[in-house]
Amino acid sequence: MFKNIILGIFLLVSTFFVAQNTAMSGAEAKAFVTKVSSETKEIKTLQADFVQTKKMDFLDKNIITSGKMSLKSPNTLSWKYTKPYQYSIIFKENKIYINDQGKKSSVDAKSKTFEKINKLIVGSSNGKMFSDPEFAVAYFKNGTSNIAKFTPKSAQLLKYIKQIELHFPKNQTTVSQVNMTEASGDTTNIVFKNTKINAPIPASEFSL
Amino acid sequence: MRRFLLQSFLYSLIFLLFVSCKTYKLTDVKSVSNFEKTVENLYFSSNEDYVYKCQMDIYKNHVSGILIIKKIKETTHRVVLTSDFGNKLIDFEVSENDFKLKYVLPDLDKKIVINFLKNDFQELLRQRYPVNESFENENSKIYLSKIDKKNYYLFFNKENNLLKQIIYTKNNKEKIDFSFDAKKHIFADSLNLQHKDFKINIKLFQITETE
Repeated sequence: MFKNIILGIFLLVSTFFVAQNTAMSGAEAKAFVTKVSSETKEIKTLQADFVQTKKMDFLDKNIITSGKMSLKSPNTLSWKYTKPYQYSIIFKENKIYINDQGKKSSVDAKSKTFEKINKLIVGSSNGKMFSDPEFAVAYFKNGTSNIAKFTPKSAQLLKYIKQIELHFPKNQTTVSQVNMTEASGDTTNIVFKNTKINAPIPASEFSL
Repeated sequence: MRRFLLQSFLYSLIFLLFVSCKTYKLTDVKSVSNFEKTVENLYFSSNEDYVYKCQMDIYKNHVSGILIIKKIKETTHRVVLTSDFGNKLIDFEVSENDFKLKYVLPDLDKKIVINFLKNDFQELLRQRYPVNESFENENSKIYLSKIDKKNYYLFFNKENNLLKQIIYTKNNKEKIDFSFDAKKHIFADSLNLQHKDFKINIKLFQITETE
């Protein structure tokens, strides 16, 4: 009995918190997508620091890695981890260049997994994901952010990922946070900081 | 032409036989009397999270990611490999006699891959070794442990008593060579797992203690 009361209170409290993210109306969602899509068209380059947090239910501590990302329109991307280890991956002209703690390699960007990663990262930073036919999108808002939740439509993709959540701060057209939920329920959360739009990026940033 | 092919086939067969017949033997060691009844690999014995940056080379494929090992019961470990981006590649529970696959990325879902990982981690996470014979050389105390048809040679550094190498042999043939780099007995800073019969190599560097 006592347990049920506690559970009841817990459910109430959690609904309260969840309720803070309210669904957008159809018109609101349409306006949001139009605004983000048109403004991201103006983005030629994008740079940001990121912190990636991996949560798994059986671990005592989260696994935190961090680094820097640079994006040059239309599809050159550098994603570099600098802490606690060095690992860089660069997508450029249909090739993928990797520097794994000094071990350099390159592959053709034909691998399905890499393609998905590239699409995911590039897509989530330029708003093109909204029209990706692989996903169903639902729109929410809270006091500070607009939130787009992507759910894969195909059973095949659901084996990889259950949901991707993109947070757009209300005064910003680029993503400040990505939350990914895997089929198992584990989450990976990436927070972007010090975002710079259209600042020049030295070419060296896109080579190993 | 056919004769040539047959000949070269025979030669390579002989060569293969010769190579695979090579037996593992300790050299330049002297036998010492048995003091220890059992020795232990304590590098994964704590209940805390063990987190490693992982580089795997399986023939020509290079796999990079983060490897997490956690002791969840007295004899069972949970092992998870994620990509650098955080998504899970494989997740399983393993003990000496048991293996439970919890998740595998569809692209990696191949019996041969899973069996390799199962066997490698069963060996890596084996904690207790009964001692059958003891040896020493200039730098190391060496214990031979025999379990079924498997022989394990465990090398402990004489100065700090830390386990630095395990050579696993089956039917006297060297199968896997595990090398450890450590400052304390319950935690390896890095380790290298090298198959002697296949081109498989796994390197781990600790990222558990970062701050």
